[in-house]
Amino acid sequence: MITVIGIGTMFRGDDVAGLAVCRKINALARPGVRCLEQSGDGALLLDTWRGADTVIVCDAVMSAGPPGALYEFDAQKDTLPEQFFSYSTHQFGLAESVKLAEHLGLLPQRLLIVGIAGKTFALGAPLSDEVSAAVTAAVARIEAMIAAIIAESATSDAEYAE
Amino acid sequence: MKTRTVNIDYLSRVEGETSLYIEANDGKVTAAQLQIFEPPRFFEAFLRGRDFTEAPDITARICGICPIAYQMSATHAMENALGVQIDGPIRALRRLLYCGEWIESHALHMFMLHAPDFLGYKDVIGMAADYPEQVKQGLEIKKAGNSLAAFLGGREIHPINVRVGGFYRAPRKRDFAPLAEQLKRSRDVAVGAAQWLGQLNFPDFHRKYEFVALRHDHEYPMNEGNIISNTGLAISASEYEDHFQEEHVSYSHALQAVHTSYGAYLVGPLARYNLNFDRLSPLAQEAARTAGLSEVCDNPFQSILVRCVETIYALDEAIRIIDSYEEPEAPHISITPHAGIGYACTEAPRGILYHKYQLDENGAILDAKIMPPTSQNQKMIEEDLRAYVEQYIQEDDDTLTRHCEQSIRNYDPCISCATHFLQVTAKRNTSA
Repeated sequence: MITVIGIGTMFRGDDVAGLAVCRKINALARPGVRCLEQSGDGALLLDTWRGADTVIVCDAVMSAGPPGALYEFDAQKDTLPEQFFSYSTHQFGLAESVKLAEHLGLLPQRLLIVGIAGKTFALGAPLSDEVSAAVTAAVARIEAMIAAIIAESATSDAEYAE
Repeated sequence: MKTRTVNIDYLSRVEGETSLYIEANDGKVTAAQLQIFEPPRFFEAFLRGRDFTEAPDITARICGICPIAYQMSATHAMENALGVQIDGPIRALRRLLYCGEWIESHALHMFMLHAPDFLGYKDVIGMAADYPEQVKQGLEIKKAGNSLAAFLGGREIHPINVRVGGFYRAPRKRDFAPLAEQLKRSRDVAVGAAQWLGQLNFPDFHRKYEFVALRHDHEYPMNEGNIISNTGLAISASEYEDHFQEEHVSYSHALQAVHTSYGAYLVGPLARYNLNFDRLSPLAQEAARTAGLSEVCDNPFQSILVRCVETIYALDEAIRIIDSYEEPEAPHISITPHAGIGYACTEAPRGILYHKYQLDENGAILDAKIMPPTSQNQKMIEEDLRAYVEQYIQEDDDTLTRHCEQSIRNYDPCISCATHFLQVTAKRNTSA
């Protein structure tokens, strides 16, 4: 089972990007893929990751790059920049959750993260044109990831059968 | 004269944004100011002209940590204005929902935000490397609170099932079973945590506080009760503004509350505990003693223990309510609006939350007043700082900042509510 988690809120401009990506992937109704929309609350992320096989997370990020730029991280290999995934001064968000999950042994076997550089996170702002285009690109990229994971799994199953 | 100033730009592990300014002359702290720079949020103005039914959902948006408290104070105040008294299963469900918020809010603060201070870690991520089991326990307890809020409220943050007069939908008794099991497991975990937390090293720091909290005839206070204090105050919510006032200070966007002719006062877990120990369940009282607390606690650093005791109580109370729950005939009662003024105070995780509404003959809101607990605690936070950090005023800025932050975190302040945290500026003046 592959779990796709879209993080965001619909009330803050480009912060909806993760949710939009998740909805588009969910609409494809791929077997073996479940899609979850979440706020980015760390405790909920950790709970979702517990015992999961493969998880792909998509979230809008605050970066110095151009709006709509895509960033990819493999949690087993890369360090997530905390400022990319700023969530709250009180709660903990995605970057902190990855570190916490490492210490607690709660990381999924494979955790891939796709970040979309936002342009505006103002209350009530609409999705920007740049990030709207990036949503389509992120969906294609995550679809490619899913296809590769399924193909890899089929290969290893065939090798096991031999 | 030598002057030392310390500025903490952003206080971490609190809700919202504020800075702290400390000034000391010849080692004596002369100023401790919480300079809250989050912009005012004008919720009271937003409410004017809106229908009385909208207040619970609008005010819930003031806070993502304690939205249920806002929903509870808003519904009770509206029902007070309209002469309605809710009883039976709907009243029990409200108390159950409040238990969920106390559990999730307290667990987050105890394990993720406050415990790292006592163990010498910058944050819970560092703490998790050495104390993974305790962090997992915190997450498990918080999850139980989240589950309860989501089950009854429709979702964990900003629940959507609360309305004036009751709920939009009441749960079926048979649907509670998995939740009840989760709460029982978390209660066991929390009892164990009380033992562990009791072994932390607490500064030997005691203050003579005026504690202000609700007091109910037979319950540990959440939704209902008179406002009382250890100085003899005993009033209803409608008399609140006769005794408590908000003041503007030039350095903060948040109003500060004072008890008229008394000054700063303290609300929240420590106040509730000191004024209501006899209303705790036997299990919670036993856990308090196991953690090393007596019936009176005047050490603000031990608020982490009191939060644990309240968490055990909330889990215990939630299980009791679920066991005795009977489905209501209807999830809410119908209310015909008319002109009136309504008042309510309920116990948010951080202390009493006061709402007042004036309605016109159609139920439209003419005026609203909200006093959140962090506004009420601000002055006492500053007084604690003056008393506590003087012993560290000669230390380097990092050490002083750490002690300041720990002292402020005793209150689990919610700055977003108050403006509706921490940049520290310390100025040290020395005459030599």
